[in-house]
Amino acid sequence: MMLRVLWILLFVVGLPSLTSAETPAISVTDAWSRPATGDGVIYATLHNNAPVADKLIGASSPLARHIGLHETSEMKMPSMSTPMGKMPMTGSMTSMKAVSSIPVPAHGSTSLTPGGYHLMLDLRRDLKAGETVPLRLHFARAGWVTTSAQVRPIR
Amino acid sequence: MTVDPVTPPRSRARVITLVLIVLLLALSAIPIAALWRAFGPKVIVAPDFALIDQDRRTFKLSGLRGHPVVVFFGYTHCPDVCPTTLAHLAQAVHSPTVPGDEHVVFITVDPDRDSPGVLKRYVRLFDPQFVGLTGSLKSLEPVYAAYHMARQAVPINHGTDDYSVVHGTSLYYIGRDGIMKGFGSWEDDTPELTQDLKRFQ
Repeated sequence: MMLRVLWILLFVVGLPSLTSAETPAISVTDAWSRPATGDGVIYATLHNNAPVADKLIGASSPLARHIGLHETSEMKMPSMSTPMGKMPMTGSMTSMKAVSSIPVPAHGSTSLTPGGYHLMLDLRRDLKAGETVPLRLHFARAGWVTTSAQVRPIR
Repeated sequence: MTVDPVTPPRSRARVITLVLIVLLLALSAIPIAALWRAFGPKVIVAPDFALIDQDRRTFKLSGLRGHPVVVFFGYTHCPDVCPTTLAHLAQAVHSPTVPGDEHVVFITVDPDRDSPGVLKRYVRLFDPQFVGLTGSLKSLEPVYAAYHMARQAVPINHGTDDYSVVHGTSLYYIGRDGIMKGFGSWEDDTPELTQDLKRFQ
């Protein structure tokens, strides 16, 4: 009897979360990574299906001691006067900084791509091509979203 | 009777010949090499260096004379830019249209963390043929300077000792003759890199 009440209770309480799960506020597509040792990376596209803006504020994975939210930015350098003759140095420098959040606009999406936003993983072990990285992404509004990233081969 | 106001053609030709002879004599006094340096195409020999490879052997750039070489600077704790470039290079060097004796040389900008062992595990993720180079800062700094590669360590998070290295991300294409042939960008995709590998031999 007690058990039946508990089941009913669970069902009633669980129902709203189940129905809302059919149209999740945040969905993640194309999550991928590379073979890596020491530090790994995850790229993905974050879709916000809600009418309000959200932001990614954290991430965790059993394969990483820590996951940082990062952004690569580029500084274009003016071509330097070098003895390089006809081939001027039009180099660029890139820097990487930690960010506290990655915004995802209402009814929009944000792509984490090479040279932009990415997740940096302090790996517990090496990542090999073909395996899957379990991943939980923490959003300010939508809460925790469970997903996974494919480790794509280099070529 | 008509009077020709201009110098007769025969005499004009004689003057021109004389001027040319004088010019040639003057030019022959200047060494050809100096003329070539002043007016010929600029040729830059890729600055040579000796560093330590991932197997702890001494690596000299001039030892690869006869092969095309691509030099790229980076560090193994770089999760985004460096692996993107190395992955694209790994794809490009295996393109069937590229001769196949290309050498990719990755020089660390972070010798404190990038030991030969760390570099070995790193470069073979991309291609076992890639060369990963490190050394003392004293041996690396002249290489950075010769290639006009700027670098600066910056903390990732305040309050931790974790840092990233801001660094120049140009690709340097060196021909079989050891001459600098051209430059590329870390943003070049695989087809662009393939084109450049074919072009800069």
